[in-house]
Amino acid sequence: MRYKLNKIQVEEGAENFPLTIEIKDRLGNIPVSGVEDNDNIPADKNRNLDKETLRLLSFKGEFLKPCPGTNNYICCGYQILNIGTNCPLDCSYCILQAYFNKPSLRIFVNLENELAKLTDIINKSPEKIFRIGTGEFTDSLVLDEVHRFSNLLADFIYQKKNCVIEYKTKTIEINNLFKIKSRERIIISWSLNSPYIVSHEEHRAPSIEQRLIAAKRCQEEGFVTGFHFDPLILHAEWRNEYQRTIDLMDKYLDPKKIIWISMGCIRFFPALKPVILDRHPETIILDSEFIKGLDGKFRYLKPVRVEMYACISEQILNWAGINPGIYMCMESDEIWRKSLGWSPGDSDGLSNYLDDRVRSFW
Amino acid sequence: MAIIKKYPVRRLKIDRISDQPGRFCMSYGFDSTGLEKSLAQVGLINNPFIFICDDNGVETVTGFRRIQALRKLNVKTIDCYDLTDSGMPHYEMLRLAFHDNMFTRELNLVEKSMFFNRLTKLVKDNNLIRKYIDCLNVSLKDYEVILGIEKLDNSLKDSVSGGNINIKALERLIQLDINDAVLLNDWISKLKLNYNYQIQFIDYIIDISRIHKLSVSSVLGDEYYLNLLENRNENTPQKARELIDSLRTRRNPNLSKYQNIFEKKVKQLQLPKNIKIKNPGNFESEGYQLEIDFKNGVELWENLKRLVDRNELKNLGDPWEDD
Repeated sequence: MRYKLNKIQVEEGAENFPLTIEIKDRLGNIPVSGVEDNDNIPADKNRNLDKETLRLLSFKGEFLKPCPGTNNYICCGYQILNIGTNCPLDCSYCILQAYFNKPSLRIFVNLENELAKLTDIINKSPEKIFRIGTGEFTDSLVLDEVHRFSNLLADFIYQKKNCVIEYKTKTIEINNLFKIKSRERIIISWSLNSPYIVSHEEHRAPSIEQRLIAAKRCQEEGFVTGFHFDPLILHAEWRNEYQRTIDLMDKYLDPKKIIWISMGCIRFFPALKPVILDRHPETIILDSEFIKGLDGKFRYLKPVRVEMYACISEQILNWAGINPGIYMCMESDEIWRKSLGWSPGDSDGLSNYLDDRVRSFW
Repeated sequence: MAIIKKYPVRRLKIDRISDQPGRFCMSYGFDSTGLEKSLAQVGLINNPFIFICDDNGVETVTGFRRIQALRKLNVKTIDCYDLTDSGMPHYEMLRLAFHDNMFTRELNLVEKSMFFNRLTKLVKDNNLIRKYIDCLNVSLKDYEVILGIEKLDNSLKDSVSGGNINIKALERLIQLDINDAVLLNDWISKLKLNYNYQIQFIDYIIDISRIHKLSVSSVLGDEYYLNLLENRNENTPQKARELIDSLRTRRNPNLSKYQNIFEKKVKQLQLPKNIKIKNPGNFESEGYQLEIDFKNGVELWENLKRLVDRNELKNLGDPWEDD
């Protein structure tokens, strides 16, 4: 484990799950204690997210949920598989700081028991392609050494011909992936940014070069890869800085093995701002101008977003020589047209575009 | 139901009783003129409750306002119920004080803060604290802010107890250095900023200070703002609007520039007063809005016809296109 854990808390009701026992064995030296099944413990006043405590619990909510999206922006129609919450990385812009007010790294040890329910949901819509991701409420791979969900879910997906699963990460925790028997319908994807933003804002995360070396290794091992330039952040020399990342992609990656590359300019709920300022006072991300978007989140002004998307997509296309499935996350039809010269029109259109990308690989 | 016991009455020199609210009282920002008149006319009807501490000092449990009013009337001694040997736990004394206040008047935010600070020192049971939170109509999300009020500078507490400052503005001020908070509150008071302006004012100042690496006092020490404050040709609401507009422009220069360009373009169209072209959502909406006020269909038709003939309407576009 690259990320330090000080203790394990096992919630009441989670003690006897096989995964709880396995995790306790795997992390043999870390002290374990039982805690009440009490979800009303707020993160403390100092916003200490207690990132060195691992909490094992049986999750009572729904495991598979569509990405909520909003009416005013085009959404990709992703399905979120909830494997746990919080993350040991400490990115200044991370929504999880304000989204969950529960501390500790939380792993849902009852996931395996719930897969039958997921099968029912998936089997009910055989005509639909389920693009499932585990990287919404945590980093997909950061604790994979601990829970090894990557293997469990790969086996699960293998039997579901209308599903792909995307493991989205900023880490280089890829060793377990190579134990997966089939590479079919598995996408390993990395969040990317400029080297400057990584060093200033993505605390505890590996460098861009380390991530791309891991991605290269996955491509060589037969995995399809994806990349997410999200959040794009305005900073000095941002064009050159993002070009540095594209240059590294050129050095390590085969663009033909990329299923998609998304872009999304930074956006955040107003409630996140004081949390960022409190936890990361040195951040530069709040220095730009923001307006409140149609979804209530702060965003850059339209012309700024168009300029960033147009510039970075051009940099990607210049490198790749083909369109590696460039799309935008939560943007309007107008921004799509002005930035990329085309638009999927609406969320269904974007879903179709991404489903076609899936079909072109499998 | 608890039965009110009889407690011994002790005559005390008023000077012996602490003039601080101590561990039980929760009074702040009160005007005792009426109470003084009443005491002068009919004397003390309800005797305060007191508690004698180990160091022989006397702490008020209930009747803090009455004792303060009697001090002003130059009364020398006072009869109080003495709880010292009652065996009553301190939490019960606080509860007594709470009931003594709560059901005769509404506590202001400073007083609520005083109560919760005293309560949390005596009680660890979250469910019990929660009951008081509900009883005092405090929103859970405001609870931490309210708890922080008692530690504020008196000038801020005066603004809070007078209801002159919004809880969201207060939440921001509490997180600042105390001198910065006092300074911002001073401007808020002088310009009588409404709740919406208070939040904008604090947010703009904090952002400008952070981005330009300037102290809050040097941002507000700018000659422009000082002159604005002293300007005798403008009334207070005008000054407030000018201050907020100026800060908005400084914080968001591009947005302000685009808004100015857009407004200039619309102005050049010389539309009649009943026709307005608007930019909803800081240019985030897809397109712009045309608003026409009309009395009847004929007038609407005439307005639309007049608009259709205006070729210069075609010049209206996104303001950044001219940039």
